[in-house]
Amino acid sequence: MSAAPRPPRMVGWILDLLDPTGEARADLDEEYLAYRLGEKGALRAGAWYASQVVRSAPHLWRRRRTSLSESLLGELFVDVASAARMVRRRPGPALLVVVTLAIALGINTSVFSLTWSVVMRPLPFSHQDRLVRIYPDELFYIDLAGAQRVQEESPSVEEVLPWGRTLFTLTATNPAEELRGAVVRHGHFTALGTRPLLGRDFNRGDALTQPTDAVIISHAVWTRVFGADPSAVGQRLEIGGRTRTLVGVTGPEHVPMEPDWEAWAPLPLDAASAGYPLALNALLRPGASAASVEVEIRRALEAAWIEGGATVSEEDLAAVRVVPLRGHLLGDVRTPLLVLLSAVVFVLLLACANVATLLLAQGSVRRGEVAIRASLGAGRGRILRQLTFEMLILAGSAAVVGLVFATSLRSWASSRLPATLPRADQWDVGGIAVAFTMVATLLAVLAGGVLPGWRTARGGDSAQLLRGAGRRSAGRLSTALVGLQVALSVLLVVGAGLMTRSFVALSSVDPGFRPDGAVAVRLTPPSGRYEGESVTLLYDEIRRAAVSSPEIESAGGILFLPMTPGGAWVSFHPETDVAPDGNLPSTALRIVTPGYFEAMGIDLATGRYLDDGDGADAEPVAVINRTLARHAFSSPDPVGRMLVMGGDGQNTVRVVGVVDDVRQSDLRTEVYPEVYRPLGQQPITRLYMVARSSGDDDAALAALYEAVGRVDEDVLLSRSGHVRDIVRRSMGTTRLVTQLLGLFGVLALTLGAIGIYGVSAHNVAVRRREMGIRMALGADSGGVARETLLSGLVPVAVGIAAGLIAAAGASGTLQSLLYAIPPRDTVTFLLVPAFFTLVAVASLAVPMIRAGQTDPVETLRSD
Amino acid sequence: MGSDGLLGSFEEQVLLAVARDRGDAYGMRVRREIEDRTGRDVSIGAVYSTLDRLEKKGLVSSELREGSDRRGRAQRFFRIEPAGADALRTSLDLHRSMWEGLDPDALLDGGSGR
Repeated sequence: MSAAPRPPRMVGWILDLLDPTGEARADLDEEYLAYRLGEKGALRAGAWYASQVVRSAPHLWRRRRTSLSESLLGELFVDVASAARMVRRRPGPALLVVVTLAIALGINTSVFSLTWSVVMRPLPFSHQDRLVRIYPDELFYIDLAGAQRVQEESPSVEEVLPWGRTLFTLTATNPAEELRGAVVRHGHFTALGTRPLLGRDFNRGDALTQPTDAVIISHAVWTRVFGADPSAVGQRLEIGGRTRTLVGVTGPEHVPMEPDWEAWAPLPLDAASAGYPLALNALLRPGASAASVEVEIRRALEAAWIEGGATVSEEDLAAVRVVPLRGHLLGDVRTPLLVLLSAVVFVLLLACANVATLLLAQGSVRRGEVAIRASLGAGRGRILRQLTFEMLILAGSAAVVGLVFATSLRSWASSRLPATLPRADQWDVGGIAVAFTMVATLLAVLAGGVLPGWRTARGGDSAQLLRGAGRRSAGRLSTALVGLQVALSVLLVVGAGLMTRSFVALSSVDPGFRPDGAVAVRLTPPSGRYEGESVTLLYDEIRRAAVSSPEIESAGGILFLPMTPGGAWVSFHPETDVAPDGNLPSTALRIVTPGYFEAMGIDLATGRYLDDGDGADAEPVAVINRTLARHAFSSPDPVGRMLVMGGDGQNTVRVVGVVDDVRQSDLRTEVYPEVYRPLGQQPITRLYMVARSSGDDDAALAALYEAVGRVDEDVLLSRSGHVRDIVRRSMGTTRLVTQLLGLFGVLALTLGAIGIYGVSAHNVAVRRREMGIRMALGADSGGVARETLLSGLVPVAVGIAAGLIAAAGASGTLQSLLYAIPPRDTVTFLLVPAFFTLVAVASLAVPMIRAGQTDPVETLRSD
Repeated sequence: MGSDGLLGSFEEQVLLAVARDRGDAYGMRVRREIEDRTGRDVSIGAVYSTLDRLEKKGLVSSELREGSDRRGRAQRFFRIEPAGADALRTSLDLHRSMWEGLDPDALLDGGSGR
C-alpha cells in the first residue's frame, strides 16, 4: 500500500449503518490511524478494525434501536416541519412538482383502475379456469340434442352450456326498452359457479313450461327499471307482448357471456326447440385444457352434424376452436388497455425524470443551505431524510390531487367507453387503485426525489462543494435525465401519432352511406296484430306518414341496420351453375322496404332500387351490393341475372339493381357480400325505420316518432338516434385509444419541453460567470449562444434516437389497433423527430438568448 | 451496577477510565485505557453501551463537542459525576472489606490465606 493508509472502508460503511452519528467510526478510525497502524502494521490493524466492528455490532445495533424509538418521533416531527417550511418558502417549484406528479399519478390511477376492473380482476365465476367458449358460433347451427351429444362424446367436458341470442322488449318502461339477452340452459348460472343476487337460477320446471315463463334480469336493469326494489322478484313483466315472471336478478359483478346481455330466459326442453340455433360454452372437467379438448369437441360436433343431416368438410372442422372464456370475453380489450397502461406508466416515468431534473437544479441552488446545516452537525442521513420528507410532502399532495383527478377522469371517460368493453360499468377508483397510487407515489419519491436529494446531501460532505465542484457531475446527471425524458416523450408521441394517423385513415373510410342527416328508430309492432301482408301494409303506411311531414325527405325500413349487431346469412350461387355441390359461399341477407336506399344515402351503381311494385305477387327480386355482384357473377352489371339463395334452391330471385358496398359491421371490417330483398316478398315484423331529414335531424326524429304514432300508437319505439352516432360508436375503441394516447402524447411533449428548457436555463444560470469571463476575453455573444444551443441539443438528439429505436421495437404491439397504417409508419417516424427538434429549439431559445446577452461586466461584478 | 446498586466489574473499569481522563474521556480513550491497563481488547460497542448505561444512572455525564478533525462526526466527552465517584468509593470499600484479613499470595499457594 503506497497511498496514505486508510481504515478499511467497507467495514467502515457497515459501522456507519450501525451508528449513524459517526461516533464509533471516528473513534475506531482515530485509534487505527494513531496507534494500531504504527504498532502492528496495516494487515493486523485492519484485522483488528474488522473484529472491533463485528464485536461492536450487537451493542451498536441495540443502542441504535433504543435511540431510534426514543428520538424518531421527535426527529420526524422536526423533519416534517422543516420540510413543510422549505416547501412554503419555495412555492413555485413545489407547485410545479405537485402539478406534474398529480397529472401523472391521476392518469395512472384511472387507467390502472380501468385495466384492473376490466382485464385483470378475476371473473366472478368460481370455475373461471374451466369455462371455455366454442368457436365459431354462427357456423354450426346445432340444436339441444346436438349439444347433448357433444357433452356425451367428450370425456373432458363436464357440462355443455348451450345458448342462443334473443331480444326482450321490455314494455314496462316508456319508451319501451329493448334488452339484448339469451336463452340459456336451466342451471346456467350454477354451472358458471355463480348465483343470482336475488331469486334463483332457472330450473328444469322453467325449461319444461310451454311457452317458457321465467326471466332473469341484470342488476343494471333491475336498478334502472325497478329502482332496485327487491319485491320486483316474483312480479310479472310485460315482455314483447306477453308476460313473464321475474325469477332472479344477477349480482352487480356478474359478467354475461356476451358483454351486452341484460336478460335471460330458459332454453325450452320441449320438441319445439329442436332446430333452435345455439352456440356453445362448456365447463371442462378439472385438469382438462382448452387446447386438448379441441380434438374431442371437433369429433363430437362432427357426429352431431352428421346426425343432423349436414355435410361436414375439413374446413368446417378446422374452424372449430375452443378458447378459454376469459380470453373470449377480454381478448379484444386486453391490447388497447395494456397499451394505455404502459403509456401512462411511461408518462409517470417521464414526470419523475422531470421532477428529478427540477430538484437537481434546486439542489445546486440549495447547496449553500445544505452545507450550513451540515456544518451545524447534521449528518448526511439526516439531510437526506429531510429532503426525502420534502419530496414526500410534495408527492403526497400530488397523490391526493391525482386521486381527485382520477375520479373526475373516470366520470368523464366512463360515458365515452365503447359498449363492447365488458365490466366497464364496474370501473371504480377504489381500494386497489388507491394502493396502486400509493406504490406509484413512493416510486416517484424514490426516483424523482431521493436521487437528487442524495446528490444534494453530499454537499454536506465537504466544503469543496460550496465552491462549486460537483456541479459538473450533477450537470451530467440532469443531461442524462433530459435525454431520458426526450426518449420517453418520443416513444409516446410516436404511439399517439400512429393512432391518430390510423384514426384519420379510419374516419376517411367511406361507409357506403351518408350518415349525416339520417335518423333511425327500431319499431316493434304489437305481437299478433300484424302478420304476412299486413306487416307490409303497416310499414307502407308508416313510410307514407313519415314522408308526408316536411321535416323528412325520404324514409325506409331495414332489418339489420349497418353497424348494429345482428344479421342473417344465406348461401348463394348464380342460377347458371350446374347443380352445386359441397359448401356454398354465403351472403348477408337484409330485408328492406322501398325508400331505404334513398333514406340511408346508398348510391345505385346500376339497375334500379326496390320499389312499391316489388310485392308478394310480383316476380321475386333482389338488389345486391357490388361485392356480391363480383362474387356471384364476376360482373359489375348482372342486372337481369338470376340468383339462387339457400341450399335447397327454392328461393330464386332476379337481380334488378346493384348498390354501393356498405360497411356492415364497422369501418375497419372488409365489406362482405350482401343481398337486399323487398319486405313485400319476405315479410318480417320488426324493422329499423330510417328517415333522411330535410335539415333539422332532431325535428326529423320527432316527426318520425309522430308518424309512427299516427299509424298505430301501440308500435313500440326503441333504440332511436342519429345514424352518425351509430357510426361513431362503431369506432369506439379506436377513438378512445386515440384520444387518450393523443392526450398522453401532448402531456409527454409538454413535460419534455419543460425538461429541456429547465436544464438548459439552469446551465446558463450556473455558467454565467464562465460565459462572462469568456466574453470579457473576446468571445462573441453569437458564439456563446450557439454553444448553449448545441450543448442543449446533444441530449435531445440522443433522446430522439433512443426514443425512435424504442418506438420501432414497441410499435408492433399497436398492430392490432392500427388501420391502414403500418406500425413503423415512415411518415410518423420522420415527422415526430422533426417536430421534436423544433420543440427542443423553441425550448432552448430563451436560455440561448439569455446566454448571448450575458453582460461580462455585470456578471463579474455580481460574483 | 446490579439490582443491589453495585457496579459490575466492566462498569467499574469504564468508570475508572473516565475518572482517569479528567473530563477528556471519549469512547476511543476509554477503550484504549482499559486495554492498556487490563490487556483486554474490549469492543468499542461494549464501551458505548456501558457509558450509556452509566449516564442513564447519573454516574457520568456527557457533552457533544465539535470534532475539528472528525469530518463532522460526533464526539462525546464524558466526565464523572459525584454519584459516580460515590459508586467507585463504595466499590473500593466493598473490595477492601471483603479482602480484609486475606492475603492474595497465600491463596495462590493453596493455603487458607490467613
